Formats: sequence, C-alpha cells, structure tokens
Amino acid sequence: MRAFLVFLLAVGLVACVDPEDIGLNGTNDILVVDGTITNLAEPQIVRLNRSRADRLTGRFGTVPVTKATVEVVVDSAQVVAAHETVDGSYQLPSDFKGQIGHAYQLRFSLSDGSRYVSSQQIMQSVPSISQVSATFNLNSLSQTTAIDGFFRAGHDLFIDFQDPVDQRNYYRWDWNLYEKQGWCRSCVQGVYAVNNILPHVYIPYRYYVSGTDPYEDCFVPVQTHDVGQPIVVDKPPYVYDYVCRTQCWEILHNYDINVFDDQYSNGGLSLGRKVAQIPFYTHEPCLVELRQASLSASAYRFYKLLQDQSQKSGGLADTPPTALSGNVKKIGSVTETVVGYFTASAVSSFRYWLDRKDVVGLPLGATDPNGPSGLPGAELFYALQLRQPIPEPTFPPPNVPIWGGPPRPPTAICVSSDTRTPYKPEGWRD
Amino acid sequence: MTRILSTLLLALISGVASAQILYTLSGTIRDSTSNQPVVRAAVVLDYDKSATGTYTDEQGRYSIKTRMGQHIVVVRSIGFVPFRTTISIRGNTTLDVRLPSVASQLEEVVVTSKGYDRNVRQPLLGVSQINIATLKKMPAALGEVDIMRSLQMLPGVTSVGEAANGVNIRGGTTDQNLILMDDTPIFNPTHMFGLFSVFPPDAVGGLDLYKGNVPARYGGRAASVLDISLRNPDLNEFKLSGGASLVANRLTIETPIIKGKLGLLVSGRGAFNDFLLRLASKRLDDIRAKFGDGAAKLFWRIDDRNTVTAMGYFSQDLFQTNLLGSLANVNAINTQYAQQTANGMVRWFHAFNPRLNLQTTALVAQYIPRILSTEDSTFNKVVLKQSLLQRQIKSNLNYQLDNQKIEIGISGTHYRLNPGELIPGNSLAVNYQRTPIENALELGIHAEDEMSVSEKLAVSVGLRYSHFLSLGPSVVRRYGSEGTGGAVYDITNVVDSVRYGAGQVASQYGGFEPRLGLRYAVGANSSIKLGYNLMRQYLQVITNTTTPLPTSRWKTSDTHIQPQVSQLWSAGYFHNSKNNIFELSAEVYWRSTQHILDYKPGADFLLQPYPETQLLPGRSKAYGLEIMMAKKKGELTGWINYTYARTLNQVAEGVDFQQQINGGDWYRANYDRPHSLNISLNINQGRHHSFSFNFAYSTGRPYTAPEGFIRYQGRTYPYYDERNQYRLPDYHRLDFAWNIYNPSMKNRRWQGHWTFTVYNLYGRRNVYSIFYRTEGQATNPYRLSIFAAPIPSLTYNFEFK
Repeated sequence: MRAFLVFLLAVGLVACVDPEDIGLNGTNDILVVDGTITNLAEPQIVRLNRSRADRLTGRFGTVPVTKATVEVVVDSAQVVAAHETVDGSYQLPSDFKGQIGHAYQLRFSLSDGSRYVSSQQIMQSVPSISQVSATFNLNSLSQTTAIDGFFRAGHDLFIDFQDPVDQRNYYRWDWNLYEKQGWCRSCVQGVYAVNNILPHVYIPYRYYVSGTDPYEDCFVPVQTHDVGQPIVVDKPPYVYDYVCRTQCWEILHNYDINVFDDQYSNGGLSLGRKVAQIPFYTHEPCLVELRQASLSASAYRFYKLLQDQSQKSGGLADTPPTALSGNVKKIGSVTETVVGYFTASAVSSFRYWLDRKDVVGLPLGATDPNGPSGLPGAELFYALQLRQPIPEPTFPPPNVPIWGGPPRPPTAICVSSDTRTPYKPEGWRD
Repeated sequence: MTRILSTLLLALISGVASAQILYTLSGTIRDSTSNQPVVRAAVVLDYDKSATGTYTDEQGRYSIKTRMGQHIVVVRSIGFVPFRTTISIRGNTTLDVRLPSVASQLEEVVVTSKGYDRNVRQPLLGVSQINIATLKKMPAALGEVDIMRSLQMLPGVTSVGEAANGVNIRGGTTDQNLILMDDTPIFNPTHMFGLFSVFPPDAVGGLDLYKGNVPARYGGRAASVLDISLRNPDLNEFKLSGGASLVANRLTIETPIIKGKLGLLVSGRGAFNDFLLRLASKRLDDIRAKFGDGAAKLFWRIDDRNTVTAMGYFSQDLFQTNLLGSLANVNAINTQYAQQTANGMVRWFHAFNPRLNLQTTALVAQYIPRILSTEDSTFNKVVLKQSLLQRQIKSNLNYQLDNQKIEIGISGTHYRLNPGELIPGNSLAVNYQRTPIENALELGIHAEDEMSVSEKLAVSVGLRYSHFLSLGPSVVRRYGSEGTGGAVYDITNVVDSVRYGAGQVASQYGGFEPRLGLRYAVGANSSIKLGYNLMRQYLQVITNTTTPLPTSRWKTSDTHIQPQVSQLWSAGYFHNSKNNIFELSAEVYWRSTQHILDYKPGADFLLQPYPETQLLPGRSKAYGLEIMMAKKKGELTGWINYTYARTLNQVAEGVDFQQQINGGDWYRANYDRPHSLNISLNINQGRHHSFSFNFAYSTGRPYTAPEGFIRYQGRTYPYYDERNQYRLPDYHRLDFAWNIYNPSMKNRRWQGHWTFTVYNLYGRRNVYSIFYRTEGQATNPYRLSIFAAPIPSLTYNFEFK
C-alpha cells in the first residue's frame, strides 16, 4: 500500500506520512505473560509484568510481577515449579525441557491470591532448516527502522526448509546474533571497582581506599560531610568505559515477529524465506543463530494478529486493531484481559557463520564523523552506543582516584545475561 | 484573465486614441421568449459603468456614444441571463439583443428529464439525478472526471476518505449500493485502489441515485441504487471526442451505421503512464500501475415500435509494487493486484401502443479480481483468483394511464461465485487449492403503481417479492445448539455436516419488499413526502478492512449467513421558488439493518471454506437529517447542503470476548461522520469560460487508537481495546476548476477545450488514517494523508463533429 503513496508522491508530491504527536492518556493496567517452553537445553523462562499507565500523568511504564508462584503442568499430571531468578523472571529447573508431543500448561498465582491458567499447548515437531544463505544488502533495514535514522546496510539471511506433508505447520522465526565484545562496562559519574571501596576511609583529600572483598561494579561517589573526602566531580558529566577481563560476546535479538502458516504450501519445499536482517555493525565476522520454531494454530493466530496490527499497519485498507487476548485467563473472571501467549515450541536451530567478506562500504561502527578511535573492539562499541569508548585515563588522574586494588584502569567482568555471555557460543570460530 | 488583459489593452488603445470621433451604439433589448422590450436593462461598455453605462427606456431602447475600435458589451437585467459580446465599432452601430429569461433556462444542477419541478411533484424521496454536464464542470482530482467522487458532494453520500473503495450512502456499507451501468452490475466501482471511478466519463449519459425510495424494479442490495446509463449513439451524425490528462487518455466514437436506424458508440480510456514514474525516480522502478476501461453500445431502431440495444463493457486494472504487503503465507518478492470486469447486455423494447410497452433485458456480468505474488528466485507467479459471474434475465411491462403509471416485472438471476482459487504455477512450495464454488438463484417479481389521487396527493405503491436459493453442490456444517439463537460458529462446535448434490437447495430465503412513497402538495410550490422501503440483500462483501479491497471476498447467503434486511423510513419537505430557480429540501431518515456482517479478531477469509467461522452477525442503525439548497439556473448555479448523520453497529452474539464487539454495545461504524457540509458552485462566464468551486467539510471518521502500551518479548506494543472510540481530525477541502471552451471561439468542426483544476486548493493535509507502528523496540504513531498538497492538473478535451 505504501507503494501507492509513493506513486502519488511521484505524480504530484501529494501523499505523505507524518509522525503524529498524540498525548495518549493511557489508563490501562494489564498483566502481560511471556512464556515459551522449548525442546532445547536452554533456560526455560516465564516472564510476568504489569504494563500500566501512571495514574497521574498517563505515561506508560512497566513493572515486573514478583513473588508469584509459577508452575508448568506437563500432560495434566506432572507439576514443575519455577523459581524467580530476576524480578518478574521465573525459571524452570535447568534439567527441564519440553518434549515433542507432550502437553504443557502454565499456572500461576500472584501474591494477592488471584490465580491464572493458560490453555494447554501441545508441542509440535518442527522440520530442520536445510540451508542458509546470506546476501549483503545496502538497504536491508527499512527506512523507518534505520539505525540512527540513516544506517540501513546489513545482511539478509534466507533459509530453505522442507515442510512436512502429514501435518499442518505453523512457524515462527527468531534470531540471536553473537558479536565479539571487547568492552564490558561503562561507568557514568564514577569508576569501575574490582574490590569494594571502604566507606568513610580516605587518603585525605586525595584518594578513596579499596578493600579486598570482590565488588565488580561501578563506584559512584556521593558527597558526604566526611572530613577529608576527595572533591566529588559531577560537572561536566563524564563516563569511563572498561575492557573485558575475559572473552565476551554480545547477544543481539530480533524484534520483529515473523510467522508463517503452511496452509498454501503444505508439504512443499520452501526456498529463500527471509528470516533475519543482520545490521552491518563491524568488519568482524559474527555468528547468527537462526531459530525455526513450531507454533500451535492458536498461538500462530495470536502472533499473526499482533504482527498485523503493529508491524503491518499504515496501509490504505488496514484492519481496525482489536484487543489482543492471549491464552491465559484469570480463574473466575471472563472480563479481565491478560495479554501474551504461553507456547510450547519445538525449535530447530541453525548456527550460521557470517564472515562479512562480501560487504560494500563502511560498517555502522566506522561511521564516526571524527574518524576511527583505533582502540580494539571500538567498532562494535560505536555501533551499539553511537559513541567511541572512553577509557579511564591514567594521567591526568581519573575524577575518582582510588588507592589500592588492582592497577588502574582495571578490566571489567563479562556478566552473563540476556544480552551478553562469557561462554564461547557453540559454532564460534576463532 | 483574458478579460483583464483585453481591458488593459483597450484602456491603452483608448488612451492613445483620445482625440478620435465618437460614434453611437444603439439598439433594443427584448425578452427572447415573449419578444417584449426589457425596461431598465443595464448596458455597459468595457466594464466602465460610470462613463459608458446606460439603462434601456420604456421601449427597451438604449444609445451610447463611444470611440472607434473593439468594445465589450454587457447587457444585464434581473431575471434574465446576462449577455456579453465583443463588438467592433467603425461607425454608428445597431445592436439588438434578445435576453433569455432565467426561468426559461434549462436547469443546470440536479435536473430531471421529466418535467421541471419533479422535486416537488414526484412521490419519490431521496432521488438525485446529476446532470453529466454539471459533473464534467466540477473540479476533479488529477483531471479525471469522477462520478464516485462527485457524488460525495451530495447530502448523505460519504466515504472513509480519499482512498476509499466506494461510497457509503445513508449509513450503508459500500457493498450495499447496487451500482448498475446500463442494467449490468458493477462490483468494483474504482480503479487503482479507489483513486478513480470505473465509468467511462465520455459515454455516460445520465445517472440516478436512489438513496431513499427505491422503485420496486430494483432489488438485491440493502442501501441504495446508483443507476448509470450510457448514452445512445447518435443515429444521424458522426462524432468523435476525447481527451488527454496526466493520468489517462480517452477516445469516444459515435457513428451511424445505417442512418436513422442503427448506430454505434465506442468509448475507451487507458492509463498507461506509469513509465513517467520510472523516469521520475529510480526507487519507483518496480512500480506498475495501469488501468483501462471501454464500453460499446449499439442501438438499433427496428421500427417505430421495436428497438434493440446491446452494450458491452470491459475494464482492467493492474497494480504492482515490492513495497506492498504480500499475500500472507506465500513467500513472495512482489505482489500485483489485478482485476477485470466484463459486462454485456441486450435489451429489446417493444411498444404495443403508445401507452403500453414491454422491455426485456438479458445480461451477464463477470468480475475477476486476482492477487499475483511473484516468488523469490524462480520468478514464478502464484495467483489467488476470485471470480463472480452473474447472469440475469428480466422483463418489465409498463402501462401509462392519464393519472397513473403501472409497472409489473419479473427477474431471475443466477450467481456463480468462485470465492477463491490458489493457482501455484510451477511453485515448489505452494499447492493448488480452491474453495467450493457457490451457486445461487435469486428470483424476483414486482408491481408498482404511481398515481395521482388528487391534485394534492400522489402515491407510489410498489411491492417486490424476492426469493433466494442457495444451490448445491455444497457441504454445510451443522454447529452445536443451532436454531436456539446461541450457536457458536466455530470449528470446535461442529457436530455434523450435510452434503448437497448439484442443483439441490441447501437453504432458501425470501420475503416481500414493500416500497411506499407519498407526496402531499402544500401550496403550489411545496410538498411533503413520506417514504418506506424494505430491501433484502443476498450477495455481499466480507471484509475486515476499513474500506474493502478490490480483492475482497464476495459471499452469497447460505445456511449460516443470512441475507441482510434493511428498512428505511424517510420524510421530507420540498420547496421550489416561484420560477424554479431555487430549490430547498429537508429530509430525515431512520434506517435499521439486520444481519450485517462483522468479523472476529484476526479473521482471515482467503480460501476459507467456512467463512461463518470468521464472522459475527450484528445489526446496524443509521439516522440523519439532510438539508439542501440549490440554485439551478442563471450565471451562478450550484448547491449547498448540510447533513447530520450517524451510523452505529452492534454485535453481541454471546458472552465470550470473541463473540462480541465493544462488549456488545453500540459502536460507531467506520464511516460514521456526523456533520458534513458541501458547497458546489459553478459560474458560467459566457459560452467560453466557467469556473467551479467545491468545498467539502466533514467530521473525521472514527478510528481505533491504543488505550496504552504493553511490554512484551522485549518490545513495546500498542494495546487496543474498544473499537472506533477516537476520531480523526475534521476533513475539509476546496477545489477549483477553470473550464475554457473552444478558445479559438470559432465554430469549427474540431473544437478543443481545456480544463485546469486544482484539487485541495489550500493544501490541507487531511488525515486519512492515524496508525501505530512498532519499529525496533518502540511503537511510534503516524498520520497518513493522501492528498497533502494542492494538486494542479490540466486536461485537454476535444470534439469533432
């Protein structure tokens, strides 16, 4: 439909899409459930949050739902309990994973006693990805998703797969991108401290004093009434970046929903399905994990509707958006809307080594108008932060001088999280 | 412009030649019909009232002294059409003028072929007949005369916006309008996603829009009838006409084959200018946008009592881009939308005597929309095709008495609908698929009597009986608790299915459709009219978009999808000024429709063999007030109208969230726009110029905005709840057109005329839609405008006689 507008544009520069400025005064307070059981040996996590608008300002915010009792029922018999790892994140036991053909159901109760239950999801099998190919594309990202408003180059990744004949299949594709990360921590208005900083202990007016307990965090000094505290510098604002102590990988995820129903192509050989657009961050090679997941028919419909009304809107004949109702219901209430879908998906993963040898032009990490920084790993840093790394200086001394501890500037640890790992990902080539 | 220029020139000339001798210009001004002298008519030379203006005396005579050379003479008098001419004075000159009175002029605006005050005298309410000449003078977007767009200047006719695929009449959906072109149905009235209408503008002879009382001879749609007739070819004279605009080129040929007996009219239009796009920008390389339509009409006067008319119409559209969303679940690099209409009609008219005649028509109409998806790597085209074939035969007997007109008629229609067929070509992935063919028969019989009961009272009583049969072969599902009113049409609730053989009746519906109209004259120039209408619709579009796409699925009624039944009550007051120059009307209506179709969240109709599982039946109500004032004669003609109209729908099929919309409450229809004001003016400046202005205002249409946002899987998504609870900003627009007829001013066989139009003169960025798109992790709001700037265009038209 957009092309039609482009047509009009060509005829008389007439149609246009403008950013709209609407002060939405949201009033919602909605429980959002995000849980997927896969058949891979990986953390199986259920996330709960409450997305709500501030009562006074109407501004949107999200609060993790803590202290809930979360469990998954397998085949209506076996109950597996999850424990809260991070606020609002409930992880099932590490030896637990889904199995094809089995039924899974999510149950949880909140701290206020209200109980919720999902529909039962049977994990369907998924065919494997038979082939992956990558093509460098200067305009891989769309104009609206261009990084920093201009950068669109990247690799389009295409897969081939054989759809099974004997069943109706629903697919979802996601990707994880692993990039070698050299910079592990940035400290704003402070410095990185490997060991704890002793409170109220100073080399008068000159240094803070390091202890010996492990700390591994930013130390941001606060002005106290202590005599002898070094001057707290807060203007101009400053930041120091610290290199990694060990090997470290940045993990980037897709955001777009990409789903497919084999209704027209059951049993067919699907060729050249575009499943990922990997931005051209750096010259360095990277590893892409492509995940082809199975969905149930109802989960497919949920994601398709979500995709239609969030990613495919703006045409001349849009479908008016409707309330997204997932498969989780509050027990004893038909009116309360719970958003999100609990799914059980078999995943076939394909790890693709993207050597980035076919690129044209500069990567995002080398587009700094002031030229390259020359520091190792600075390209990825620039690509993700849109600024060059600023190491803690040795002379003149940093704004927060520390006495003792390892020599400065120290290195930072690579903390394992959703977006970073110190463990070499499977398929990584050195 | 030319006038200002010539005035300036004249001023210059007269300035230079100030010492020249004065001559006398004199003459008599008379009424053109009565030949009586016109007293105190103003006669002005060169627009200089004070120096060279005078009035006629009791005998209608005048006399002005002036210099030698070119002069512009204007003669005006109240109640008469002004007279203008350019005269060359080389001595004493006589100029006698006959002024036609305004009252004797032909009506320019909403006129009729039957009598001059049809508005007051006819019992029918809510009939608009637009003069095609008026329509051609109206400003058109991109210079293409557009019936659908012009209709929206009338009260009670709206749309969802500038890219709407059809119009909404008195709260009806776009598919509730019966659009007939020479009796053949038009299933998709627009080219290029709503931008242009499909009717060949040079071949259209007239159009009637019935939005209130619908005569009993029409049936099959619930809201209104738009009856467009193509011109009959001239039987005596060869004519060629055509034109060119930025968008399309047109040519019409009219030729007698046997003089006085047999004539042929062929009219064609084509828009193939998309190569301009490719020249304009490299980014538009992949765009293809073409359309064409053509009509041919043959008229054979066999003798005084028999005539035969044959008509053929063909239209084709192709639109392609790689930016357009593709057919879901087909892996494609680009998508083309193509549609094709082919209609044909033969009509035999036989007059038994001057009072009694019989008209028999056989027609066929075929509509084939297709979506073509080009697969990656192989460039194979996967085609999703729909086709709708309507074949109909009907016969009308008309009997004209002194005080009444009686009509009886029968009609039989067969529908053959292929709701969807997926043709894979040589695709490795896609399989051939089809949805079951729908066969149906619609039978109708009607009688109507229009009579004058007394001087003051006239009535029109019509009754139609329609019967619809859904025919096999088909497989009909039975759902649990059917017949109790609480049936849930869902796959989980299927209890059985019944197979019907070819020709077997799977389900049938029928009923009477009374059509009543009453006129009571209040004084000589005013009348009050009342009307009641019931209409049944057995063929409809099922869609889940704001405006149906040309590729939207058509559906005949079946066991689960009941025909729509609409009732309309209307009342109106009509007043014509003494000489029929002004016309005032006020109408109110109330409409209620049963079994309208809405859709479940996430509904998908493509290749769906059981569409009832995706649909929710509901009801609709619409009410409104329409006030219109028109000036039909004189130099300045036009109208101004105000409409207050509401359309509300209700869907409450069950307690489940999926079975109701907005909690089962009444909600605004997509095209519910309470206030609208339209002004259309046309100023005729002599025979060579006319200026037209259109102004349109209406409340913004409702849309669905998020109630807030949710955080899900690392992204912020909009959260929607109630449908259509917000409104777009108000819509308003001014258009301008300047028509220059025959600029050479010579009466040649070849005459050209230029039209310069500016659509959206003050360049308002009217909002077509506000939408939210999730990009990266965030959701951003946008507004989309279709014509966001003034669009000038120039069209050249010619005529050859």
